[in-house]
Amino acid sequence: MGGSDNAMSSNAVALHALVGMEWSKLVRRRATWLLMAIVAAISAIVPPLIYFVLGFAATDTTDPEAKASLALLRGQMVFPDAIAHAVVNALVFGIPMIVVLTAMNFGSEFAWGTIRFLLGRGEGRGAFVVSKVLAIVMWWALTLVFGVSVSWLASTVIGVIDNQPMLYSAGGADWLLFSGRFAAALLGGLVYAALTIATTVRLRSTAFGIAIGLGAFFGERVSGAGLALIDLLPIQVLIRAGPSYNVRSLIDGLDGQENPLPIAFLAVVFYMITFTWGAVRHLRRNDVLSGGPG
Amino acid sequence: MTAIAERTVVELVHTPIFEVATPQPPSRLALEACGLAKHYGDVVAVNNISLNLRYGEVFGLLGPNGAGKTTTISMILGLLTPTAGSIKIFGHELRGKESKLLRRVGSLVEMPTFYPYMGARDNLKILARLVGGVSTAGIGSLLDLVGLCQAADRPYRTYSLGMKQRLGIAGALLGEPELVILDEPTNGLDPAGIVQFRSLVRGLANEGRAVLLSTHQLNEVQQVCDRVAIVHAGEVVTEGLVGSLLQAQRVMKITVSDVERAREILADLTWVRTARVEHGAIVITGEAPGPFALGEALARCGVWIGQAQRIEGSLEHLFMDLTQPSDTEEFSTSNGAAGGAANGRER
Repeated sequence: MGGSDNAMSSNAVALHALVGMEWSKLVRRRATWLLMAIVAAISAIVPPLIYFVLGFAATDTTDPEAKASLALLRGQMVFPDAIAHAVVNALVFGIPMIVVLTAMNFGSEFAWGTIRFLLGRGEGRGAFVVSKVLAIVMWWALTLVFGVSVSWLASTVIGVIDNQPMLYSAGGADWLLFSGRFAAALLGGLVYAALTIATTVRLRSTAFGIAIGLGAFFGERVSGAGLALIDLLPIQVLIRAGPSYNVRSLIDGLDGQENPLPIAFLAVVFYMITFTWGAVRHLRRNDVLSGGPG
Repeated sequence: MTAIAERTVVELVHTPIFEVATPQPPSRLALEACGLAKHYGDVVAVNNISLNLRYGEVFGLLGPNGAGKTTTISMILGLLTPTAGSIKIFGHELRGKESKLLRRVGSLVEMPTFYPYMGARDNLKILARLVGGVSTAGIGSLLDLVGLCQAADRPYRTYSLGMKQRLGIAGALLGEPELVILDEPTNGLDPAGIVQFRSLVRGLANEGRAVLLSTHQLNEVQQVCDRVAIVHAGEVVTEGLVGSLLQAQRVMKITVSDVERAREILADLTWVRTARVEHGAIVITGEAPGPFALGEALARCGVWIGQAQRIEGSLEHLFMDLTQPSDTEEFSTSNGAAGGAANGRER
């Protein structure tokens, strides 16, 4: 029992050291901060842009329904709705960045050959993937926090310019919604990261990792239109369980719309675990040198 | 580079590489590889290679490009899965214990690989987290040892080939490894760096560590290694103490009055390992039982030696005999195998 406890404690310490190592590699890379800065920049620019452009549009229309829709959308850019909506901004702008960062993080180890050096010095193949995933989780959480903060700052600026409500106007319900959305966004971004890891490790290519990760993300944005056709197929239930139970449905579920939250949550967790497990399994079973004699 | 050039070999030999060296009994094996094979479809990269490496010795893996040295080392380091065979490191089966055992193994495989956006110091710090138990002072000592102190904070991507190689060696020595595996470590090093490297490797062995050195540089093996295995086409063609192999490779070049008759006589002499005709002269390898043994044997049959020249044995001769196709006329000797190249092969 004691030996087993010691082994577990030793493994935890080793994993802690490996995650620390991966985090050091991430933070020393300029691209890591550049991608985070892009999320922040978009989060800063887009809310005021939407708010003021929709404001001009609202003055041009006389249709009361259109005016109401525009007012609803504008309302998401100012407090108190901006509290929770800032998460959606950070998520949508952040997912392409986490895909790029993840593909670079894994792909570079193959491209530079550093994976050989690490495995040759005793880093476990499973631990290699898991420690990288944990470092990416940390980066993603930080990016979401940063993106949300900048988005709130932008909403504050809108409030000052256009005499709109400030952050303190938010109530308990707003913060509850924010917490749920933040958790969903944290989990949701990792699905695309996990898919990117699986692709990058399988194909040992940063470019393919980015292409598949971004393809899945943008593909899901347009898949709603295709779902009507998919309904006609015999495997529609299976297909529906794929793209429809995505991050968007997870967030919508939190708002009490569309798909039931538990299924969306389980589907997202399932994708994440499956893709990560696939990457670990593939790396374990394969030689890390390209397969020529020499 | 200047800093290295200024340091004497003696100084380098006596530079303590690690603060704690655990002397091991000389008979203990640090590495046992048995019947290793690696196939890629129909291509046999390595076939039935067995190696034993003791603590306190430098073992050379010598072979031409593509002989299977790197593949063998990659299997030992768990980077490639052997098609057949087993590997024991420090007496434990490697399979399933890679993480535990390989932390005690320092290695440099092919070209050094580091993170290009970091300097030598940060790269070693990153690696030190993985290996564990390495202090900042220890990293500084290693950088000093390989002469990279001045460039320690410059990005790795700006390094010359020699500097990259030096960092690769430092990385291999990080964490006081008991077994050090170096694949072509002197690639790109300048002459001063090579001299320093040789001293360093001997120093490691003197501290009781086991060193496996893969190279195609013959003089490196001759000067540094205790034992050597010559690998060709994925197989070990000969293995032994470097001194013994050199002794067995002593060469005598003679011109005689009757080449045909001399060939018949030499074929019957048991001490002649190989003999071949080269531009009218006969080149003989082997250790004669006495200074006049060859002359006596030939003269007794009426063959007279015109000129005789003794050439000290070198790994180069042995290596060429074993790995290169010969364009000279060879003939069989009583030692068993036929002809120069084949005669030298000890399995």
